[in-house]
Amino acid sequence: MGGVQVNMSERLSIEKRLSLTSFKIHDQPHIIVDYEKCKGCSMPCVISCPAGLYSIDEKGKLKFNYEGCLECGACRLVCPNKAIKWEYPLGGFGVWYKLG
Amino acid sequence: MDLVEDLRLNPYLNKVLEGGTVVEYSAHLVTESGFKGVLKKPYGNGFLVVGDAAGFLLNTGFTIRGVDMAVESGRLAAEAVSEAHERGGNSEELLSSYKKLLDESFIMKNIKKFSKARDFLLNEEIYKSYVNLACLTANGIYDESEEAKRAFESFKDAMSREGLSFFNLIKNAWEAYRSI
Repeated sequence: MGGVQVNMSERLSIEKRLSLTSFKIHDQPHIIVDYEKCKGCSMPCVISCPAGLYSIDEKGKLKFNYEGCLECGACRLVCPNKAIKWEYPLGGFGVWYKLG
Repeated sequence: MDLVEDLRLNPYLNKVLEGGTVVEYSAHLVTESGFKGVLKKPYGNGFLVVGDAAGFLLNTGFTIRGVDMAVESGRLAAEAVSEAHERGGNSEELLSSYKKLLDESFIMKNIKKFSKARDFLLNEEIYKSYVNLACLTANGIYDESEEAKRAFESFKDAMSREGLSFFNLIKNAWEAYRSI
């Protein structure tokens, strides 16, 4: 079985955790955010995304990157402004779970 | 995102996981639809359905659980499979003992016990209006304006400000008593 030998009492960064999971990234994003709709929003997507793909930049604007998406769909559900267009990536692309 | 690490690093759990390794990081949503969401037939020719895929989740209104049910349904599935193999196959008929094992386990007992909870918990009044009702009532009670209000007066004012009816309140209280 794969995985890295980690000290079990060490906190793993999100980057390290994501490096344990395989992805086949498609050049077309499967999630499209309409940033116009994000104005004045408390941006629950930032804390909901288990891959930490949503962040807020210095200007208070939302930043998003679809690479590393675990395809859980949480962002789509928590978005109060329906600003997130969410579709599964094209067949064969996206996250590639080996252990379920 | 940080919660899962907090959980893994919890001293109690961390002790259990000692010597282990992290093999993959994943996330997915689970559906929770109470008794109605449970598969009526979680088995077929050559397969069994376990965990959230079979709808084994429980929302009591105060706690949401499912990991324990996933583990237990996996254990029961293994039992059913090994029994079926002993009887020489993995047909639907042989695997149907899984259903019986589930019905006797804490999984279905708990889900059945809370079978009315889902419809009650979908009522948005209990998350919005009743929260405001509690706040407005407290506000009235502790208010120190010229005319001091009695507790029930504050409650009545809060009810009308939230546009709630006494009939509905009693109805909901009764439903809460019956379902959660």
